[in-house]
Amino acid sequence: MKKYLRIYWKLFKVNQSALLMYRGNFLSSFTADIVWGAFNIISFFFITRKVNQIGGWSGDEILLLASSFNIISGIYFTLFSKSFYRLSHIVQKGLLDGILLRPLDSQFYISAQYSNITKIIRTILCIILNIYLLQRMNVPIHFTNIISFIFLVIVGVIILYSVSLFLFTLVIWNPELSNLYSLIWDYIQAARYPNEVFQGLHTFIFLFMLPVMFAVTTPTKSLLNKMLWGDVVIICLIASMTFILSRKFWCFSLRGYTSSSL
Amino acid sequence: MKKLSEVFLLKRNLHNGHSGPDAFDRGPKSAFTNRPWIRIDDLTRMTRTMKYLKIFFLYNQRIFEQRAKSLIFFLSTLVNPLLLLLLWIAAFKTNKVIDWSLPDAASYYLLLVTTAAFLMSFVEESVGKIDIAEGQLTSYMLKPFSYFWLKYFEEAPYRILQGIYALSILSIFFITFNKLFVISNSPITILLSLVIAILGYHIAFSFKFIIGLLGFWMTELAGLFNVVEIAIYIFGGYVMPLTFLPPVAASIAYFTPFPYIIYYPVVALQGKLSVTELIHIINVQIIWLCLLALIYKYVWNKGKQLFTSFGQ
Repeated sequence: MKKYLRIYWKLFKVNQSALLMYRGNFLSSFTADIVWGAFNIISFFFITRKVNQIGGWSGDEILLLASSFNIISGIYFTLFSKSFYRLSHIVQKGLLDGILLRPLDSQFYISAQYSNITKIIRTILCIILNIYLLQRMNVPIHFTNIISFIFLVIVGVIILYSVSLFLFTLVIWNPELSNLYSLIWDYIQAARYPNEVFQGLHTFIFLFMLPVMFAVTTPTKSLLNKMLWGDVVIICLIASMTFILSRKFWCFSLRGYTSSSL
Repeated sequence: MKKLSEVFLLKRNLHNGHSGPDAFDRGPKSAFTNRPWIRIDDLTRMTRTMKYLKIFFLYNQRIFEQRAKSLIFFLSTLVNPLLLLLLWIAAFKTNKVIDWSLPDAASYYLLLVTTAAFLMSFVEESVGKIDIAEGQLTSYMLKPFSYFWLKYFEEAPYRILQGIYALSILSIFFITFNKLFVISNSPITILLSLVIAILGYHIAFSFKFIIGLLGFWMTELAGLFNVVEIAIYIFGGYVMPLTFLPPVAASIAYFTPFPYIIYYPVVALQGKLSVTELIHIINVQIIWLCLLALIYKYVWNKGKQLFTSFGQ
């Protein structure tokens, strides 16, 4: 474990140095992230101007949900998204062979290979927005709320990581699906909608949406003092199940990997 | 000059095995005149058109080879509007939204998916990130074709395939929830809506092409592309109809080309606009196209002077 932490830290530092070498890229990535984060909030702001509440969530609560989504997705983007984005390229070019030959866990290396610190700006700005919205709604912020929120955010990130890994593993089966990234991102974006939106959907679609449904709503509920212990149990169960499943699927897919590049 | 060209054709026919006066009669009839032979400029024009068509068909083959990849692109454009529709359905249960009903919302987002699949070009990625940044433009510049039209015929098959996917989804929704789907039944409205849609595609293509050409001046385009994409999402009616936007945002939107790409084709097909309004929109679209053509000429002429490429 200590070895992996040390390697992770080294990889992280190398990535950030590389990022700072190209100022243009750095600024562009920074701008893009602020703009997308703002878009997530603005689009809900426009909708909540027309409707008072959606599925029991008031306008401000929906904005808080969108903001919490930005916090969680900001961490996910900082730590994992670039690595997943590069996965199809790695498989296509046959670079996975080199990774599998290293004395490291391949899932760890695939997930930690790249990181991008600029993405954290979305998280920072939305923490400030969350505090503002909670004050506007007159919701008291207790120490226990903060601790439970931080814990649930970590669980939420684990869920996003696991479902992404599961879906990105499909690239091993079909390396040409290089654009899977955009579809998975759109799927993850479903997390910014209240759970009630998905009620009444076909069971199969509902089950498919289930992991991302809880990844953000439960942490947000903890801030609003609306969380039940059942919600915590469900989100922890989903996180562990998706993590185990994605791990199993990754290992299973590697068994079918033929080491041929395109 | 005219005689020379006629002699040239005669020589070609003779070379192909025809001889005597018959040689002219056996030659292909010109599409432009009743003469039994073709003038060189007519021939050049025809062959150029044929070559563009050939490019179109070649890309068509390539795109149909990559159906799965294209399907994923389509699905990713489908997810967001459907999520927004689900959100509105949940909102309708607890709120009364003025001027909007469930059938209106459902038709709006389903038509949005369809028109976006057909009309929203993504040419800026290949122009800015591949052709200019990676130097592929050299191969295009050496070809005896306009770069703009080459990219146009490269992009068209993508739109057609995406549109076919969208129409399939639309048909499924139409069969399953036909009461929720409202579309104009006036032939003149449909006809004018199609004109608006075609002009919308050309606005989208020209605008995105110009954005891609900015790669001549900028080395990193991701930030700009994201800003443009979000502007199109908000002002192009992706999130919600423009009439629902705050007045300031709506008035900004009407001064941009974005509503003329997706929003107006959608509301026109829904039958929300009168014939006079439809004609007015077509006029504005033509003005936008002329403006974009001028900007394109200027940007292309200035930009290509900055372009350098070398290799072995």
